[in-house]
Amino acid sequence: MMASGDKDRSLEHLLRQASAAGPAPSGLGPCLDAEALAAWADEGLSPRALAMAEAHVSECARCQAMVAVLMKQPPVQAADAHRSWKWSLGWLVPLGAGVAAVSLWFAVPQRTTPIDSSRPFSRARIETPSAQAPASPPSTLADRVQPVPPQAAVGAERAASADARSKPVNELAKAEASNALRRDESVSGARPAEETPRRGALASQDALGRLAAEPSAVSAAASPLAAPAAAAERDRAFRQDAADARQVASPDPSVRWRIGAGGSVEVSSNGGGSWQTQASGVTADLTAGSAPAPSVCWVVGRGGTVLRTDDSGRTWLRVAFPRAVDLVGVQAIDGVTATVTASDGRVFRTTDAGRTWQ
Amino acid sequence: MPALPIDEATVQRQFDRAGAARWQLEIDVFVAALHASASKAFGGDIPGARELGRYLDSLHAEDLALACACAAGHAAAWEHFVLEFRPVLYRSADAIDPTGGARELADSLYADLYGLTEREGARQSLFRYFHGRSSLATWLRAVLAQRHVDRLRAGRRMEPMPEPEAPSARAAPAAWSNPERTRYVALVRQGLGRALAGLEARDRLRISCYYGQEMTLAQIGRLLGEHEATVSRNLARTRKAIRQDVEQYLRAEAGLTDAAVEECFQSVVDDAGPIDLNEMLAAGDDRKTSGSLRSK
Repeated sequence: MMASGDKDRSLEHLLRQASAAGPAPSGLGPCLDAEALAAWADEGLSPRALAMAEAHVSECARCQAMVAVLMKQPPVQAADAHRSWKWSLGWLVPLGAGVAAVSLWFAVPQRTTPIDSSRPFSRARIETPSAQAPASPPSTLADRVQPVPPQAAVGAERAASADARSKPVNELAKAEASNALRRDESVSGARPAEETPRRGALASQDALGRLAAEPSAVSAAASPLAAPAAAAERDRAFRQDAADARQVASPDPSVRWRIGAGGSVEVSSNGGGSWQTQASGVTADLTAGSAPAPSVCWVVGRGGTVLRTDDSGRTWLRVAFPRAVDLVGVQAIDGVTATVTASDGRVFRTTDAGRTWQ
Repeated sequence: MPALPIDEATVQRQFDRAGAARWQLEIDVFVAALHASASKAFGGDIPGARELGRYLDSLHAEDLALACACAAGHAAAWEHFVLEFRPVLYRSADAIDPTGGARELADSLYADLYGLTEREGARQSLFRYFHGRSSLATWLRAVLAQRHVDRLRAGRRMEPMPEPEAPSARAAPAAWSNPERTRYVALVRQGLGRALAGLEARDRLRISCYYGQEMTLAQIGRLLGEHEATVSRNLARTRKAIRQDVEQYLRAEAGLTDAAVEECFQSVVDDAGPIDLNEMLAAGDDRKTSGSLRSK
């Protein structure tokens, strides 16, 4: 007899087979226009308008597609940046000086190796534990994986020259990104804690965008270091992935991994000072990891992806997983015992390095 | 359009808050924009002064003033817009289509924002549709998303149907040669359609976003104002409710035995054929009559 779980999986299989194409909009009133769609995204709809929008979009293929395209983009907080920029304007100079001083205090003793020159921007940012631990499912990565925090307050990072407005947009964007990246390094030891990690992490990409797009008329106390335009552009592209990168700490504070989209895996042996890319052998987005020992790490991702290493990541093994579901959490005890959580809340456990799962 | 009670003091306060003087924006133009925004938000209703005041305070006033000034053709405003928001537009286009296919949309949108067309001697800028309920950046991205989707949908309608012998033509699986199996799959699909129709709008939206639009839990959470774990939990609950509704339908209405119900589910695992979830969700007027509404 089929168990309920098997029937659920049959149903999920049925739902997943659905295509994204759809018929003409339903008869639930006119489609959302872009203004209403944007207002929804920015929480600018009244409760009544929101309920009507949800009711319509729940039945309208066209509006669902528009919502998806919009929400799949990293959130923009340009308006918030403008507001925070305005009120923090007067504080920029002393704040910048203070941040630079604190960062020097913290950064110098920690840095034992020079910053990797192939990557002028260092991702050695503050690791901030999630302030919003998920309520369910219980066996997730909250105490293991720390999302990359967003950039520091916009006001503290902005330091364009007074004649920024006269520069062409592209050159300005590159210069701003470069300046921001260099300042980022210097304040990596003093970055304030993230308050909304999940939203903030995704917003960090657009924090970069804001920096690139918004010239500041105020000179900052911390004078930026010059960086080649090409390196700045490379770093800008590189950091656009930063929003989805996650760090996996091991019991040895100097050893950690960083995972992200497209099967990206990197390891650091100096506490995040520099990173080396490792070959994961997969292209799926990686979502969580757990490192019970400095040489052992389990990583999970979309589509039932489970990876494991016993040799500090020199080799990564793809572990067979019984379901092609998105995995969102893993907790490992050692190299053979781990518990994996799927996006639908199901929990799978192995005690034989993934040969079998219960 | 009924007159909205926006007094002079409120107008001045909003004007100052928006920094509209920076762009040398005429106050009458700004007032008209406030009226248009409030009219859109309140529909045909006339809100009380306090409610209207709260609404106006919630607007992205600076962006609204900038949009008004750009629409009116103020050079300084347009220069500021180009510097600050053109990169936003291009980044959005690149996020929509990393191959660069959406850049053309961004460029055409840019032209529409500038207002290359005229009506009765006045430039017709797309900025007149921005009402400040969102940030200007989000609005730009929404316009781009809308144009991208409409272009895709238009392109899909023009694509010819595949020839029967073409690889893309979906051949019926061998199992369908069994008439019972074909019937079972059809029954499950009917049951699924009815179960989906009986969902609360929010649950249906969540299912559509996850399965139909392949949005992540985080993206759905941002849309619905829920935590990822909450989205996951609600999806699981809704899926269970759908399954139970489908089972009930198969037993009560199709008169199937337990064994036959199991065969139905097994049939869809093998191959349920092409399914348009959105078509199921946008089904016709015979919805809302199915079984329980177990979406709570």
